[in-house]
Amino acid sequence: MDVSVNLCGLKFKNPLILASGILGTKGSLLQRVAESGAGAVITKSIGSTPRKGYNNPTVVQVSEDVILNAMGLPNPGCEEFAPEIAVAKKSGTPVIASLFGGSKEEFAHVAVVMEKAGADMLELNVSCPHSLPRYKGLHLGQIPVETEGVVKTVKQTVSIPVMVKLSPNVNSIVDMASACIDGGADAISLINTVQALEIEPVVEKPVLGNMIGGQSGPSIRCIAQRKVADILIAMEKGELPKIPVVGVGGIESGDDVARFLLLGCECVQIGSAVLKYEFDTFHKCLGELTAYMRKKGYTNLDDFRGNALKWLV
Amino acid sequence: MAGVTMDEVRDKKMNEKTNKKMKMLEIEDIIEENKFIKSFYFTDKTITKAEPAQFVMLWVPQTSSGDVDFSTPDQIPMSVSSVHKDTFALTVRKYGKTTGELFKYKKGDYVGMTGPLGRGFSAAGNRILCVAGGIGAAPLLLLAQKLQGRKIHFVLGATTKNELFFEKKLEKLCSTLCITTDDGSYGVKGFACDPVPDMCERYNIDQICCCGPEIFMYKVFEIAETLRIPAQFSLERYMYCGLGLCGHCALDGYLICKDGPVFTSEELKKTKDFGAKKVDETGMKIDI
Repeated sequence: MDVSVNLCGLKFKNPLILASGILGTKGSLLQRVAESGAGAVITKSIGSTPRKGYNNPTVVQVSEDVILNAMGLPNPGCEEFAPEIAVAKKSGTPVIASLFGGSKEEFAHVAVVMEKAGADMLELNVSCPHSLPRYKGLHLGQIPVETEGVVKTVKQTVSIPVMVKLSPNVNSIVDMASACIDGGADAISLINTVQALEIEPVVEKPVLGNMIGGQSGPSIRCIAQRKVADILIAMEKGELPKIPVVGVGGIESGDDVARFLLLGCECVQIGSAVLKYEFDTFHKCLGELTAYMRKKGYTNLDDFRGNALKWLV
Repeated sequence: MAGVTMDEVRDKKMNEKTNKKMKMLEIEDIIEENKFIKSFYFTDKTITKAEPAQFVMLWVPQTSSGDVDFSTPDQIPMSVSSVHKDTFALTVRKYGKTTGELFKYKKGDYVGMTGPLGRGFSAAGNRILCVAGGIGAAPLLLLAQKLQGRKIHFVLGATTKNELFFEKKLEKLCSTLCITTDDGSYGVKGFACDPVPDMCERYNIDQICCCGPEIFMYKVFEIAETLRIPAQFSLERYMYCGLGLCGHCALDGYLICKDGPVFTSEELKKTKDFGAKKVDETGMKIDI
């Protein structure tokens, strides 16, 4: 059975990618995730200068399927982080660098540093909150023309493939995808976390240190599937040029992986499931995916990729 | 403050599966151990199952006003210091802003707690040497409690006499208790690692369990290596999630919050950063 994928010319041994923000702070941890079965790994989002995260609590589990976070993009800055890429690459698994910035110039600067450090691909985190706590305004990834500008600038600056991670907190996900494609994106991944809030009744205040945050975990998987489908439908109808789509959001089993592939995703990212299954997450999901394929008589991912989309077009 | 109003059915169901959901617990008692250190007592059936050096993420919510101090981390890891039936204690040293805020809390106030989390001590053998530097005595008191029936020898180190705590409790639990102070104001003058070689030889120690400042633990690690005695150390790093998700508390390829906080000498030998480097709140590596 062949579960390998080819994303923008990069060969992954399987379609399971470690999502950004999970365990991606150090090369040694990324190496450990790669060795535990991930097809590729994505670093924590890196900016141009060192940045403190928000106050704790930064991650809270509201219920079994609902996880809230407001990390605030803590990172040591791209120059300090750069050597971690080489450490992560010792695993032999492709390493994707996630990056953010306040302007297209900042994005381009970090992109260059990450490319030089040996990153195989970039993922632009355009849905980052601005530096102020409790920021409720629009972010870059909610404004198509801004996103397009960032993608275009980064694409002109580096030669490795560029993927853009989309926020679900937008009026039209198809418009955002369109802006990324116009900017020259090689792939898009979605969804980032869904805007959320939790209140603690005993002390009568929000639980997160930043007060507001984003939701992840199995509770957002169906939202992610809908957003992914909207884009893939538009591509299928010829309303959008076809580029690879990477599904993210609440995936925690082989069936979940199959669901996104059945919609037509090239591969998937897994993040919050690590809370439940720890370093066994990728091994578990891969075992379940191959069991699904065996039962169905599939020998590779193309045998069933996109099979569910016909009901939606 | 009013009673707990959370969706108890949902939470109860979830707590059976996970320790990762925060719950609000009432402070039932506060004991001043000394001028700088207080023990806070709570009741909870799950957290009382904590192994020594397992920790809770302790949320000390600023409740005064909407004028929030965003420079204060409201939630920090804290190990359990003692257990009695369904009640347990957290022993806290007033150090930063969060612990400073907690010291203003009174009996009847609520704090948030998630846990128990991580991996605690698992001492093998019959003759155990506990080596505590400062507030590192907190998880080792629980260890001494749990290991009743075995021979426990304890070195309790403090900078000076009025920083000492747990002396009476440990006297009851341990075969020998050796107290050191840096300035010699009480007990033996010197650091808590100083009597370790002597005590290991005299009491034919099978296992060392150590908690305290990392430089001090590194010295104990070196001593244990020289004497070829298995040793375990409870480490600390800046923690965001505490749940094994964010990766910030990495020690080489280990997560302090998940694989630790307790590590064996064998594991620490493989790391580069033990006793040398930690990360600040941005993730930048800095000297210990």
